[in-house]
Order: sequence, then C-alpha cells, then structure tokens
Amino acid sequence: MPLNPCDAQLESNFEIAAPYPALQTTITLPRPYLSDQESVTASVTTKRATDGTLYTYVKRKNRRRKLKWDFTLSRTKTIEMENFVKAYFASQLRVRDHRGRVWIGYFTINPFDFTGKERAGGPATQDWPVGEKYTVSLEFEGIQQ
Amino acid sequence: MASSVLGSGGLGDLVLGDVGTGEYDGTILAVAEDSISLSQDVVVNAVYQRTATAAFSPDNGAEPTFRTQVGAETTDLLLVPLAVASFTTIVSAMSGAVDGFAPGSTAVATFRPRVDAASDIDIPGDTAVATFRTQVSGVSAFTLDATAECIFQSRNRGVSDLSLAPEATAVFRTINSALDPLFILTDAVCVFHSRFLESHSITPQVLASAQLVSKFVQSTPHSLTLTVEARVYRLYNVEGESTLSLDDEAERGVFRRSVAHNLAISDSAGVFLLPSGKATSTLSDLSVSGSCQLKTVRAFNNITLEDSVIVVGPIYVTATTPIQTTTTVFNPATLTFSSTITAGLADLATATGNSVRHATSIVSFEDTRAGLVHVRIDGASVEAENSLEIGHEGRISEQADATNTLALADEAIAQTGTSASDLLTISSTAAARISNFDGAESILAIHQAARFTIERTCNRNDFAPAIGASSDPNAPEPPPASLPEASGDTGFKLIYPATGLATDTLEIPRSPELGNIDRFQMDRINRETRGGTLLVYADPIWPKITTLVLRFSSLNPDVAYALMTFMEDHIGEEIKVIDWEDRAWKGVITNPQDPVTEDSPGSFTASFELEGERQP
Repeated sequence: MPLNPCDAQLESNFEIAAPYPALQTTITLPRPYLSDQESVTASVTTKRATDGTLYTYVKRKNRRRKLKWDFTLSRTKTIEMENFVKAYFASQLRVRDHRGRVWIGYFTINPFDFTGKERAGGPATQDWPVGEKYTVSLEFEGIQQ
Repeated sequence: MASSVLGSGGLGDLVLGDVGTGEYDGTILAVAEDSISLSQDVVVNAVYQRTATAAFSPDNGAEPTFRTQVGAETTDLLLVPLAVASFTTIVSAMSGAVDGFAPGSTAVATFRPRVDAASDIDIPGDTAVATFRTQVSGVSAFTLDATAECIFQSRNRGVSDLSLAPEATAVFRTINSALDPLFILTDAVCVFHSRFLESHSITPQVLASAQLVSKFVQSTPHSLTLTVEARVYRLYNVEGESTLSLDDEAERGVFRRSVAHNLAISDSAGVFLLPSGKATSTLSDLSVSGSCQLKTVRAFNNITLEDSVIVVGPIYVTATTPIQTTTTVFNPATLTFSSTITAGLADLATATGNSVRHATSIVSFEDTRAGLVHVRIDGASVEAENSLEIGHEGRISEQADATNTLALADEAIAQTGTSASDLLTISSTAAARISNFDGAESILAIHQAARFTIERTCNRNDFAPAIGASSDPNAPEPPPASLPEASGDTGFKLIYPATGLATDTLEIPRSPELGNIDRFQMDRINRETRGGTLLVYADPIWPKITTLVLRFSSLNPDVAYALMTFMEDHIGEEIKVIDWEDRAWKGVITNPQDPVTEDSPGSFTASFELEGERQP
C-alpha cells in the first residue's frame, strides 16, 4: 500500500476487519466525514537546565497514531456497526481507511455513541419503518502497515 | 585425697576420664567432652625380695632366676647337681657366711652383675660352671674344683682364695685384682684376658701340667706380678620414676559452677643402696684382703595417687568446643573478606544438573542428657554413654535449593570418679536427584480464517456484514448476519413489569426527537508497554451496557405528568420499553430526576435514559 496518502485511491471503501490476524468479519463503511483527525501518539517532555540547555525526553510508540473518524451511516448500517462494535470492541482490528492505508490497532473510544442525526433522504431500506441517519465517531490507535 | 596403694607388684591399667558438662543456655553451640584415657603400666619386677634366705636350695632340674638381688646375709645356697641358678643382679651380702654356695656337679651358676662377699663359692668339679659376668669381689674362698669352670667376665677383685683345682678352668676376662693366693693346681688353666692389677702375690702354684697363660703384659719380667686393684664401687641408685600428672580443665564461656579435676600420679621405683662399709682391697704379696659390704638393694615402686576434686560453684560445667574453626581470608577477586573453614566439620551440598536445583533439609535432633552424679572414688564403676546418631538428608525439588545443614549438639556428662564415653556418630548425606525432562515441547497452533468482501456501492449503507469463517476457538462471537426482527408491539410504550402480565403501561404518542443516542459502553482496559505497544483487553464476562438516551418534546401535559408519575412509581425497577422502531428493551430509567419542561403553553419536553438490553 502506498505510504503517501496522496497517492492512494480516494474512492476506496473504508473497511474494518476483525479479529486480526485471523480476520473473519469485515464491515464496509462509507468514507468518513470531513474533520477526521490523525495524530501522533509519541510524546516529548522538555527539561531545561539552569544553563539553558534543553533536554528532551521522548516516548516513542512505535509510530502508533491516533485516528478519529466520524461516519454518517444509514440505520441499517448503524445496526450492523453496533453489532460489529459489540463483537470486536476489544479485538485487534485491521482498518483500511478511505485513503487506502492499512492500519492495525484497536478501538480506543468508550462508549460508542450512535446518534440519530437526521432523517435519511429516502425511505428506509430492508423493511425498516424509518429512514434515519446516524452518526458515530470512531477513535482508533494503530500502526500503519 | 590419697588413694590407696594398689599394692606391690605393679599397678594395672589406669584409665582416667575427665568430663565436663554444663547446661545448655542457648548460647552454647556445642558441648565437647574432654576425655582422657590413660593407661599406665607399672610393673614392678620385684618378684620377691629375699632378705634372708636360710636355705636356698634349688633342686635338681630347678632353675631359679634371681632378678634383683639376693640379700642373703646368711645363705646356704647349694646348687645341687643339674641345678641352674642365675643371679642376674647382685649376689651380695653374703658376709662370709655363705656356707656352701657350691654349685654341684653339672650345676651352672651365672652371676651377672657381681658377686661380692661370697665367702665360699665352691664350685665343685665335674663340669660345674660358674660364670661371673660383672665382678666378683670379696670372694674369700673361691675354689674351682676339678673340671670346674669359672669365668670372670668383668673383673675379679678381692678374691682371697682362688684355687683352681686340677683341670679347672678360670678365665678372667677383664680384671683380676687382689688375688691373694691364686692357686692354680694341676691341669688347671688360668687365663688372664685383660690384666692383673697390683697383684701382690699371685703365685700361681703351677703344679704339674698346670698352665698359666698370661695374655697381657707382665709388669715385671722378673716375676709375674699381678696387680690387683680393689676398688669400691658404689652401686648407683636406680630409680624408676614415673610421674604422671594430669590436669584436666573444663572451660566454658558461661560459668555457673566449675569443677576442677586434678589428678597427679607419681610412680617411682628406686633402687638404693645402704652402704654399710667400704670395700678396700689391698694387694700385698698376692694377698688380697677384701671386706664384704653389706649392701642392700631394694627396688620399690610406690604409686601415689592423689585425686582431688574441687567443686567451686556450680555443678554443671560446660566445655565448649567449636565444631568448626573458621578464619577470615581476603578474596582479591571480590575485594572482600570471607570466612573459610580451617578445621572441623564441613558440610557441602552440591547440586548438579542442567538447571540449578537445590534442596533444603534441616535436621533437628535432641540428645539425652545424664545428670551429674558424684560417685566415690572407690565406688562401683559407672559408665555414662552418650550416643548421638544424626541422620541427614537433603532433597532436591524442582524449585528449591539443595542445602545440607548439619546441626550438631553434643553433651558430655562429668561423673566424678567414673569414666564417661561419648560416642558421636555423624552421618550426613546430601543427595541431589534431578529429574530433568529435557524434552522440548512447543505447541504450534494454526488457525484458519477466511473473510470476504463484496464490492458494491450499496454495501456502504446497507446491512451487509461480510462474515467469513474461523477455526480459532478463542475468536469473538461474530455479529448477527441478519437484521434483528422488531417486536410484535408497536408504539412507544413503557410497561411495568418488564416480564409477565403488565400492571402499568404508559404510551407516549410521539417518537423521541432526533438526536437520540444509542450508547454502547463496556469495561475495557488499555495498557502500553515500555516499547510503546498498545494492549487492549476485555474479559468476556465484563458487563456491556447499552443505554438509550431519549428526549420527547411537544408532549401534552397529561403525558408529561403521567411520564413523571410512571418514573416515580417504578423508580429503580426494571421496565419494558417498546421504542419507535418496535424494538423491545428491558432496562431501568437511570435519571428520573431530569425535569419536564414546558416549552410553550401546553407543550412539554421530557427526557430519560434507559439502561438495559434489547430483547428479541
């Protein structure tokens, strides 16, 4: 997979598969909404001596990064996601994000809030009485493969 | 206190044992016995002492042996034929009154140290043999009869009459002095091996066929001069002294009472001389005069035993002897001082094997004690025996160390006047048994899992879980592959109780507002290793909580107040909720205190949170 996210396909699906490495279940999600976040988990502590010398104390996390995605899902996909989260909330996951990058890590958010956002544009699918859109925020920490 | 003399003739074995004992006060690690075993043999070879033997007449075939002395002032010593008399020391004090010291025919008389003052030593003929080993002095009448043999080994002095009968043989090995008349008769043979000293007149009347053989120098060629010198010798005192001094002392660190045991034994045997005169011998014209001396030689052996027991203070005495003596040596490798055992018992346990295995075995034991008993020195023999057997065993376990610890405690009891034996048998065995299961086992678990995806655009929004298969038994339970069915009931209802026949039902005609939250909360722990690896774990039995956060608006007052009444009536109780999607839930309202707000006239807003789980 390309390391430079700019070179990745933008129309790729967002997939989450679990449990890693014996992957059994895969859920395909639409691309996350804008304002998704990605941050470095490594930390640095600075100490300055009396002579002005700066000392830095670094905690590296094996290049583990923290990602946060916001999804807007249909009601049915929300139910599927609820089921997926209940099954694999503590399992190691393999995530292929919307930029084609593959991550191995865990969900770190707790609790998972599935919020009824708005009505869906069309009727509900699969015989559900209502068509709504739900939003869910996923926080994920993992190492890019 | 002096003990009785064990008697003449000698003392038998003397065994001394001195033991100290003390009370164990916890500070004494070991009590050692000081056992002394002595054996002394004092033999007084004073077979008998004959001061006056009236008639000493060994019979034919008799073989008397006179070892020490024969102080026979008046002695009739008659050696009958075939008798053998051996005078080892002295034949003395036969003050001219040896009548009839006549070795009979074929008798053999051997005078080893000296023969003095023998008046008559008549050695008859017919193969009588008299041998004077040391000296012969004061022999007034020394007559060798025919065929008699008289051998003077050392010297011959003060022999008044030395008559060598025919065919008699007198051999003077050393000195022949003061032979007054030396009559060498017919066929007599007189051999002078050493010298004649100041022989006044030794006129060997060499009769016919008598031979006078002189081996040495004659002082005057003109005449045969024999110079005989008489000397007085004083017998030396022979003392045999045997002093045995024993000091036994028991020392201990903690003194309560002490017992000192001093045993001194002195033994002496002496031979002294009672001088009663002196021997003079002048040689004048071959006349020898000599005087007999009465000398008494006695040998005695006095054994004095003194045994004193002084008890000062406590009865119990403890003798402490370290079992191990250690010394401190410097280790240049570690630059530290360490203690090493220089003497004593050392115990070593060694564990061998692929891995370090040790076993610990501690032996504790007890040893009986005997009390202190005072026994009279002349009392019955009492023996105290203290046997201590120690068995020790070290075992090796899979996890522990093998340590061989041998603790010793020994006590010895002092019994005055008796011997105590302390037998300590120590047996220490350190055995290391290592069971090594060297087989390596590695279980390789291989699981198979298969997943799939379907590339369809609607998969992003449809309920389309792609659930494959896995052989891992520890894999989490996959989610349901199909949508859960709705309940048979419709509308938004709150029903009490959650199961069974409903007794209270509240129907809310409106669905909750958008913005409702389906909250899934679980117990999960996150850990981060030093290397930065994130570890997440959740036990399957830990609770998983689903919460519905609902808000209703535009409620009419009846519904709003009925909702508050329902929450108040069944506060904390499990109720059943049929949501707007006809899903059945069973749970508890966790925030009944949330206010009901009248937003506009006749329009209320109410909210609650239901914590529960969905019911099929």
